[in-house]
Amino acid sequence: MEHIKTDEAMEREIRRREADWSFINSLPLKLRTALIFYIEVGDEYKAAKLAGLSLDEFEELRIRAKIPKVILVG
Amino acid sequence: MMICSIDTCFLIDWSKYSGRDLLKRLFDYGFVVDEVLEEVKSENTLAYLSSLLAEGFLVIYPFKREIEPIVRAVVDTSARDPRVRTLDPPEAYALAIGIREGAVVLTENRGVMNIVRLYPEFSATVWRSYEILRRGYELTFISNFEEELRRYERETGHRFQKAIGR
Repeated sequence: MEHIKTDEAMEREIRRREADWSFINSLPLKLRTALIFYIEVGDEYKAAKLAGLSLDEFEELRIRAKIPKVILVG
Repeated sequence: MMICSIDTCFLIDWSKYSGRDLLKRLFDYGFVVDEVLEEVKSENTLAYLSSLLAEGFLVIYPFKREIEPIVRAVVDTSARDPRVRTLDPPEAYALAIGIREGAVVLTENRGVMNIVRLYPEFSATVWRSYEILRRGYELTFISNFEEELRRYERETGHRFQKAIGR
């Protein structure tokens, strides 16, 4: 359980650090909320639903917001 | 014969990657569920999906109703267990197909990784992009592993990061 929590916290920290916050803060509420949800949770399917976008449209937005999809490797 | 079951998010990521033909070198074919078609709207992803369908590499899974009990079980389990992020339909179906067909599940979803790790009854082989690239390197389809990881990161907005304490 601790290992899972540590991994998730590390992923979240990287997403927070690398995100383009000025771009995110310039977006309409729905898109901004969805990106912040993604930064905090790392779940693109739910984030896309929040944004009202298809998954691939949300992925384009995520990349424009410079939020990395973090993959931890051993 | 190597078969994969591909999560929708994963397929969208790979549509952006210039080395995406690696999937066809590693696997004979891949299953997807029809929902994948609803989640794809951009030109680039549609073109990739369309080409994979035309080549016969992607197969729309024809026995969806038969795996619904597995989908229900993995979603219920993930919703009840706080250690497992709740699975959504795309990754739940991808995992269920992997379990049912013995296919390698291609996903980056942490919920899938955790449920497979914690519950032996949902045992399946799960590969992320990292494991696929590493397999490609082992089979000499990729000459420089580190360079390929950096290329994948650039093209798909990923970050491969060494985990703490491993």
